[in-house]
Amino acid sequence: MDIIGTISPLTQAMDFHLSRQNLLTANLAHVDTPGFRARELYRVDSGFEGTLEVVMQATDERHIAGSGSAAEWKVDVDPNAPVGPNGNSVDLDREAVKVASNNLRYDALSTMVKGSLQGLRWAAQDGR
Amino acid sequence: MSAPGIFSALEVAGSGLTAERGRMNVIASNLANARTTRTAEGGPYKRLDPVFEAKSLAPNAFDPVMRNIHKVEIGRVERSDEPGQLLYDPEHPDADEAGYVEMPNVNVVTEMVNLMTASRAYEAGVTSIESIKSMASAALRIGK
Repeated sequence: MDIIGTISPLTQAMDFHLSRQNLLTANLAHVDTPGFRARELYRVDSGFEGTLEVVMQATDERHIAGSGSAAEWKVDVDPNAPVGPNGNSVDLDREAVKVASNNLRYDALSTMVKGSLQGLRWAAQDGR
Repeated sequence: MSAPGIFSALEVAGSGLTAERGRMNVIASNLANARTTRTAEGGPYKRLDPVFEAKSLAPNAFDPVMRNIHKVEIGRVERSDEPGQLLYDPEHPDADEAGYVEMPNVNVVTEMVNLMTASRAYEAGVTSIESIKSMASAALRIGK
């Protein structure tokens, strides 16, 4: 257990929330597009399928490794979003609440990364 | 652009603002011409309706999120061919032999409602831009 090891999952979580913010922003932009379905980013449990995908990406050292996000996150149409008469399933309030909570989570994560780095600096400076 | 970041989110939000502003322009044109009986095409003004379309930001990107981010743009502006209300006004220069004038098929109440939804959607876009900006500054504060 070390400080760098603590930061790595935090930065991955920040990546997840930044990606999700992109999707939510696109949803908000499409509030009036006929037939547009609201999308959502889902975490995929590291089950067989996810593992398989990672293995398939790295069978040869000449292969270009993926970012890894492909195996952990999945974009899908939000099944809980109610579809309106023109086929659009973007609910302005729903998406705005998601944007706000996603933003808050990202801020919390960035504060935690900052705290970890401050701890590292503290240790590097002999606790001064 | 390979992975979604601050700037891709800003680009998408910006495309939403542009599209909503375009829609407001069309609505303004409809409202301004609610009583126009002469046009270049002949006949009364016909209501215009912008149709929004989704356009992928990076259709060939490796990142699945990136492939699923769509900008919004006004694909086409449709002209409604519904007949307008016939007004009995024999004095009107555009009246037919029976004394009826065909008015534009613009419903002012509908246009006002559309104007309000466009305005709210624009505000939602501005809110998401504010949100992205605050996330960017939170990330920048890590280094301080």
